[in-house]
Amino acid sequence: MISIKNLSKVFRTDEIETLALNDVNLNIKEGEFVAIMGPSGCGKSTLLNILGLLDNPSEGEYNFNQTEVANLKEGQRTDLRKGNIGFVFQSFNLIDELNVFENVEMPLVYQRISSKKRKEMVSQVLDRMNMSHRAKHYPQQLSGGQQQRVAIARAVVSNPGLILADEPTGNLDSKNGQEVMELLTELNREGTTIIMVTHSMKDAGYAHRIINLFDGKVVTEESLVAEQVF
Amino acid sequence: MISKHLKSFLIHLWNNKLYSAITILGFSISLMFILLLSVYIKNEYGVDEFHEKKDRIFRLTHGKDAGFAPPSGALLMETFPDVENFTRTKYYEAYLQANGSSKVADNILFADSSFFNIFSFGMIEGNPRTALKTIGSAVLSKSLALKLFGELPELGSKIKMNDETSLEVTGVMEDIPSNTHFKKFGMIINFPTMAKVFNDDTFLNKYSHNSYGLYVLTKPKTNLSSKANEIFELYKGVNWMFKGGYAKSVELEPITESYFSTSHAYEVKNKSKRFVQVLTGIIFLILTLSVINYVNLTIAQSSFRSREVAIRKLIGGKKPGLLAASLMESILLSLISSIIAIALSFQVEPIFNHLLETNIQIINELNLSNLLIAIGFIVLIGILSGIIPAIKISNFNPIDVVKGKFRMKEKNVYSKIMICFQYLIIITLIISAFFINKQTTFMQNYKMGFEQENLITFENALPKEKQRSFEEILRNIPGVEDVCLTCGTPLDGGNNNCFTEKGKQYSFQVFRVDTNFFEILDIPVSKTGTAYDKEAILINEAAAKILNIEENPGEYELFDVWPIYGVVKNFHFRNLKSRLGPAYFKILPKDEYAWSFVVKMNGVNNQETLQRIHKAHNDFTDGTPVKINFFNQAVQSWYEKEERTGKIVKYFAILTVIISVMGLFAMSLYYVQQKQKEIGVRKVNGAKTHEIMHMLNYDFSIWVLIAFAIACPISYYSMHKWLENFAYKTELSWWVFAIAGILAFGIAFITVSWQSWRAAKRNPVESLRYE
Repeated sequence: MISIKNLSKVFRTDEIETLALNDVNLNIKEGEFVAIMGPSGCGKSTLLNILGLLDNPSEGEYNFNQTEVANLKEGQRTDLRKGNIGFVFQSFNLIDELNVFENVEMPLVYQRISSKKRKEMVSQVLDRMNMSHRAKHYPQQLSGGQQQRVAIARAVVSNPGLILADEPTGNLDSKNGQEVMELLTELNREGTTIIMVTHSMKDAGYAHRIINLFDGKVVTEESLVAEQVF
Repeated sequence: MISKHLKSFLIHLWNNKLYSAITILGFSISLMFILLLSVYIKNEYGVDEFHEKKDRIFRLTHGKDAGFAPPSGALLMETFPDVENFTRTKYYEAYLQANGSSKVADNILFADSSFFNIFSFGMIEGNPRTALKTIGSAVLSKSLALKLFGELPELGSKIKMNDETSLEVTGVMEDIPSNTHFKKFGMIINFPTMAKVFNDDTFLNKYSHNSYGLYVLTKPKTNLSSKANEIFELYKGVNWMFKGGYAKSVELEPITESYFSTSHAYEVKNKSKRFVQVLTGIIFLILTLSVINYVNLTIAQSSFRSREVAIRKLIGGKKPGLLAASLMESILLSLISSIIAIALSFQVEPIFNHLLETNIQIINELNLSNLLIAIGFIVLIGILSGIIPAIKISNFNPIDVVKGKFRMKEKNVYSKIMICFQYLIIITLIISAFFINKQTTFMQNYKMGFEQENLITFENALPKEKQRSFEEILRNIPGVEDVCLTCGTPLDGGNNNCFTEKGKQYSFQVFRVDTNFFEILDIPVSKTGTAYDKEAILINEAAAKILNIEENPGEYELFDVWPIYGVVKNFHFRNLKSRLGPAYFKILPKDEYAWSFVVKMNGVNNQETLQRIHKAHNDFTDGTPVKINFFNQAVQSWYEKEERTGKIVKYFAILTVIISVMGLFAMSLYYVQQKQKEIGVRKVNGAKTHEIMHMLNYDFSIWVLIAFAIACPISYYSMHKWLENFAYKTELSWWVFAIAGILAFGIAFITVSWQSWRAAKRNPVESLRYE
C-alpha cells in the first residue's frame, strides 16, 4: 500500500535549515497496524503528515496505492486523500461550533455525497462508536474519551483504507485510552490499515510492527507478530 | 521600562508594515476629515463672535422676514430707554468711479453713523464715531479703495456713484471679514443719503417700504427681548404691515445667531444650522468608526504579540505597567496619525474649501491654545481606542500563551453588526451619490426648448433713449448675428402676473420682447391666423392648455382686448425644479425701457466678438462695467448646488469605504485567526481552497447582504424625497441599486478574500501542529 524510498524533508526558515527526515525507507502493506515511535523532534509527525498527503517530501519517492505522489499539487493531494485516508489527532480537533453529527459528517460533505446517504453513513458509524445518543451534543459537552470516539468516527465514516493516528491517547486517561486502542484494533481487524504515532509502549503493543525514528532516520524496526499473519 | 516597551512596539510596527500602514493611514485620513470639519464648524459657530458688544446687539426680525421701514429705529429708541443705539442697513449694487479712474462695480451697504459704534469692524483711517455722520459720507474698504485710487486715498477725496451721486471719503476700513453674517460689501454710505439716491425727500419718514435691516444696541443690564410684544404693538400703531397682519410678531435675534437665522434679508448670509449639525454628526460618526476600527485591528493583532506580553508577565511584569505600556502605544499611534493628518489637511484644504464654499485655513489655526486642545484630543483618542485592547492584552494568561494553548476566542457579533452598519452607510451613500449625479446630468442635458449656444445676455445699463442706438452698434460688430432687447429671458424667467379671467385665477409669466426674440432663441411659433395688431400677444402652449383654447386660440382675446396672434412652443424659463407654466409674450415697443440685451454670435470666434462687445459697451457708456452671461453657462449654473451636494456625498462615500475596508480587513484577520484550527481540520478532511474561501467569505457576505437589504428601502425613500424637489426628475432605476450592491459587495469580497485566501492556502499541518 505504501512504499517510501530515500525520503527526506527539509524545513527552511530565513537562516536555519532543519533536516526533519533523512533518507527514510519504509514499506507498509495493506491491513497492517504500524506504530511509529521516537523521542520528541525526531520527525514522527513530519513522516505522518507526508504519509497522509498533507505535505510533500523534499526529496525521495512515495508510492501510495500504486501512484507516485511525492510531487503532487495540493489540489491533487486533497482529491487523493478524500475517502482514502482518515486522521485522528491527539487533541481530537473537533470543531466547537458544530455538533457531533455535523463533525462526523464533514468529510462526506467534501466528497459530494448526498445528504440522505450522509445521514445514513453518519448514523451507522455513530451507532458503532456508541455515540448515537450524543449526535446533537457539542464537543465541549463531551468527555475526552467521547470526543476521541467522535474524532475516530469522523476518520472512518467514509470507510478509508488508511487511518493515520497522531498520539490518539495522548490526552486521555488510561481507561479511555484503552477503549480507543481497542477501537483502532477492531478497525484494523476489519481490514483498515493503521499507522499510529505514539510515545506509549503500551499503545505500541497493539501494533504489528514498531518503527523507531531518531533524528529523522529509521533506526530499528521490530515485528511483534509472526510474518505469516499477513 | 516604558521606553523599552515602546522600543519593542516600534520594532513590532516595523515588522508588521501592512498592519502598521493600515492602522496609521486609516487613522490619519479619519483625523484629517475631523480636523478640517472641526475647523469649519468652529468657524461657522464663531461667526460675529468678534463684536465686542455682541451680547447687546440684536437684529430685529418678524417671522420669515427681517425688513423694516426707515423710521422704525428712531421710534424704538424714543419709546424704549433700553435702546442705546440703532442702525438701519440696506444692501445695494452700484458702480463707482474716483477722479479719473475706471468704473468699478461693487456692493454697497447703507448704514447709520452708529454702525461702527455697534459693530467691531476695524477702521484704518478716519474717525469711526463721525465718519458716517453727514449726507454723502462714505467709508471705503481697503480693497475697493486700492481699486479706485491705487493707494489709500486722502480723507475728503470724491467718488461718483452710478454717474450721479457724489460721495466724500470720510474713512477707510479693513475689508469685512468672512466670519460675519453680512454679505461682502466694498463701502458703507451714510444711510440718509438714500433719499438723495432715490430722489425722494419723504423716504426717511415713510412706513411704506419695509425692506431695510434694523439692528439695535441695548444698554447694559437691560432685557429688551422681553419687550418684543410691546414693540410689536408700537409698530402696529404706525405701520400698515403690522396693522394689516402681514407681520405677526417682532423678534430680537442675538447678533451671533443671525448667521443661522431663518429670517430672510438680502444683505445677510443665511446658513442652514441643520447642515452644520449634520457635519458635527459626521465628525462623531467618523471618529466612532475609526476608533472601533483601531480597536478591531489592535485586538486582531494582539494575539501575535501575546507571546511577548506573556513573557513579560512571567518574568514579573505587573498588570498596571502592562496596561500603561499598552495605552502608551495607542497614544503614540494616535500622535503619529495626527501629524500625518495635519500634513494631509494642507493638501486637501483647497478641495474642501471648494466643496463647502468656505475658506478655512489650517495654518491660521496653529496656535498655542489649539495645540493644547489637539494634544488633549490626541491623548483622549489614544486612551479611548487603546483601553479595550490594553485590558485584553494585559489579561492574557501567560501560561496558556507560552504553552501555545492561547487562542483569541470571542463571539464577535458586535463587530459584525458594526460592519453591517458601515456597509449600510456605504451602500446608502453610493446609491445617493449615483442618483444625485444622475439627476444633475439629467437636468444639464435636458432639452430646455431654447437655443443656448453662442448666446449671451447682459443687463441694460443705458437710459431708454440710448438703448436702440447701442443695439445698432452691436449689430454692426463683426461676429454678431442678431440682437434683441427684452424684459424677460429664459434665464430670469420674466415677470409674474396674477389675474382673474372670466372668474378664474391665473398666474402667468410675462415676457416683453422684440419680435426677433423667438428666432434668436430658436423657439418655434405657430401663427393663429389672427391679423397682427398693436395689442396682440403670443401665448405658450401651456397657457393655451390652461385657458382651454388649444383648438382655436385665434378666436380668443385675453381680457377681451388682446387677440392671440401666435402660440409659442413650450420652453423652460425656470430651472427644472419647477414645472413649466403658462406665459404670454408682448412685443416691446422700441421706446420702452428694456431690462437686457440678448446677443447671438456666429460662433466663429466668440472670444474676439466678446472683446469687441466689451469695448463697444465701454466706449458707449463711458466705462460702465458690464457683466456678460452665457446662456449655456447660466443654465448649467442652476444645478451647481446639486453638483456640489453630489460631490460631498461622493467624497464621504469614498471616506466611509476607506474606513470600512480597513475595519473589514481587521475583522477578517481576526476572524481567520480564530478559524485557523477549523480550516486545518476541514482541509485535512478534504476541503479544497475554494471551499474554505467560500466558508470564510460567506459569513461576511451575509452581513453585507443584510446591509444591502436595509439600505435599499432607506435610500429609495430618501432619494424619492430628494427628487420631490424637482419637477422634472430622473427615474429611480433598479440598476443603480444593483450597481451599488455589487460595488459594496465586491469591495467587501476583495477585502475579506485577501485574508481568507491566505488562510485557505496554508498547509493545514501548520495550524494543527501546536494544538
